[in-house]
Amino acid sequence: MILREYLPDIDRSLCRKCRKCEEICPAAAIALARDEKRMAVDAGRCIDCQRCMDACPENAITMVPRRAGRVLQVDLSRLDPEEVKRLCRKAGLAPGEAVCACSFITARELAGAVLLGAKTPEDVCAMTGVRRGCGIYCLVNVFKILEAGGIAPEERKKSHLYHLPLDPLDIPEEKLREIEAEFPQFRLREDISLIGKFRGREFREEE
Amino acid sequence: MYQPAVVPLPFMESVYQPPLRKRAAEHPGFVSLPVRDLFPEFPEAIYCYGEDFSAIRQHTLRALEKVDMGMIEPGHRVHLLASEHGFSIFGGWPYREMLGAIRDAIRERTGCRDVRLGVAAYRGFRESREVIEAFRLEELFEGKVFGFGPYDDGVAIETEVGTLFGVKKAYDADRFVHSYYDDPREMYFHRFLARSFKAFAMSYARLETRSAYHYSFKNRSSNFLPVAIFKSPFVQERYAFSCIMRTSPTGIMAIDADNDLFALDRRVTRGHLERFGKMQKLLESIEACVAIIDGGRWGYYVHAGGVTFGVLMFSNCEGHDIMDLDSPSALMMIDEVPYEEREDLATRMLRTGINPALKAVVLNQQWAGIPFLNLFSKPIFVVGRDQMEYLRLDRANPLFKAMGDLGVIRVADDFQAAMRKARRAARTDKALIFDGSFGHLNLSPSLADELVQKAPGVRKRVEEELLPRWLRQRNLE
Repeated sequence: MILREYLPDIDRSLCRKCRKCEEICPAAAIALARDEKRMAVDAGRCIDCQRCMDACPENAITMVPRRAGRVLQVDLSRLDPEEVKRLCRKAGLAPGEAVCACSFITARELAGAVLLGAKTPEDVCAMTGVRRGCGIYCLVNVFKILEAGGIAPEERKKSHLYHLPLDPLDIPEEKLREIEAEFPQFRLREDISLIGKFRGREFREEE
Repeated sequence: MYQPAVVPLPFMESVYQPPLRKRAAEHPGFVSLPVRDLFPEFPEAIYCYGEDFSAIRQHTLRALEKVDMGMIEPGHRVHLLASEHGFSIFGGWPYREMLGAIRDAIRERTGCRDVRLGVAAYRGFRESREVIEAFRLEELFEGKVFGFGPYDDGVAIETEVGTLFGVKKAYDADRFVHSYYDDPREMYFHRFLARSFKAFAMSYARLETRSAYHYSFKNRSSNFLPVAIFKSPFVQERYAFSCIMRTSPTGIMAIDADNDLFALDRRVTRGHLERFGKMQKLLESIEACVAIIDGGRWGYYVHAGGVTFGVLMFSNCEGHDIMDLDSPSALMMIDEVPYEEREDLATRMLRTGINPALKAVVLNQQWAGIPFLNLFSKPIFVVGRDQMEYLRLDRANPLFKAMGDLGVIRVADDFQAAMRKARRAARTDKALIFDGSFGHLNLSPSLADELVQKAPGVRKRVEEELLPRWLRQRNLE
């Protein structure tokens, strides 16, 4: 759950429609309007991260107080708690785990968003508020939950983000042995075993 | 008797911070304690303070003499890849001097004229431009300068552990030079493993790769990611050499350059463990203090005696030794908690994972933008309403607003009032200022007494017990 205080307001006299704001919006809340004459903000999707204001090269964006829809949260009451739990487990996340250190969004909320129809990282962001702070570090958790939700790759391609499927548990044994021999100091096998223990392998096998 | 506190080097103005204010060390009640009074065995610095950067230039040119530049042809485009943190240590000008000297050496030895400087930023879209303007980099590089950041177009890099993404603009050259610094700052994340490589998974990487670096692995194995990127054919086809501004708690101790980044990193790591290892252990031995954050950029990365505030914050946590690789993590990590017990971890993180000796924090000045979650378990006193308003809008730290509204984070009208309140809350007059200083610590006389008394014991423990283990764990015996 996050509290949204402000909304972007775009000054049309300054905006050159460079679409930088559209590119970087983590929630896909800004897009070129159908008439292609202005950039349009979808207030329902905006998470008040203020990144568009920062990115605008023309200083055309200011943040104005939001009057309605200040609280953004996933309505978990519409969902079967067991299904939410199952999806979290499949992603190797615990339901109550704070997956985003900035917004404290939990894995339960990410799973709820996917179960309620999120198809892209931007959808998950617009429905939960995840990535509202630094916008960077929690991203792999969003990927994990989408993958666990079986979202087809072609859906994910609608995102501005690159899909990064890297999972330490998927490193082949032969490769692991090679890396270990050359760089024992990184303790790769030990760490992967810990990650497997607490985050994934046995949960995936259960599934 | 101690010397008066040293007024720290100035830092640049930024849109990410309110207007600059009087530095903490300029207020009465603080003294300066030279690092070499604590550890006389530390090397003298080639630069620590002041406006004479000639030693940086000389040392850079000398270090580059042993580097092979034969892969650079006159018609090539060469990128000097720089990271923005270099512009926030030592006031940023020594790093600028090193970059200019590298460019000159390349031109002179290879005949290549198209040498461009790339300035990497963390996340703010105005960071690179601010750095380029503040340090007159357009002028120094005759317009051949560009900024880049994690949101710029990516390029897939195939590594031995899978596909990762770099920033296309950074690598879009015939050759590039890794123009870096070794300030160890986040010791609790990199654990002195491949510190010299970190930029390949951070500064030069897209946000997806940065996220994988921090969240996909644990904080020993995650440091293999930048190495994997560096070793990739994509990077190796473009890589020329590395030039690193090497630091110790006394200041800049050398400029080191090599074609072999692995060899350079071994030198860096050994030096770090010998010197920063001692400083970290000394700060870890503090029993109770008030920390004062007074710097440009994010509070985590502001130095006192060459050690950042983040390191003090995560020292002494649950008995972990940051440098001991037998411990999987240097601080409590979410994935170390058994699955069934991982409920309400935000609360857990607020309660644990922070140095118990840190009794209160005074925020004189800092940027917004990096999550400071654990800090909110301590009494915080913010100097000035303008600073507080900035922090209340910090989307990376919603607790600034929530706890400010509840009155848990308190605002003081001026620095002296904040210190009075912090000392009362902390029940100690001992205070340490993080203001970017190397070579000395600005602190209260009472804390100086404590550190002077403890330093010999720390030296003995590190040299006889800890250092041999740290080196052995990294194959550096």
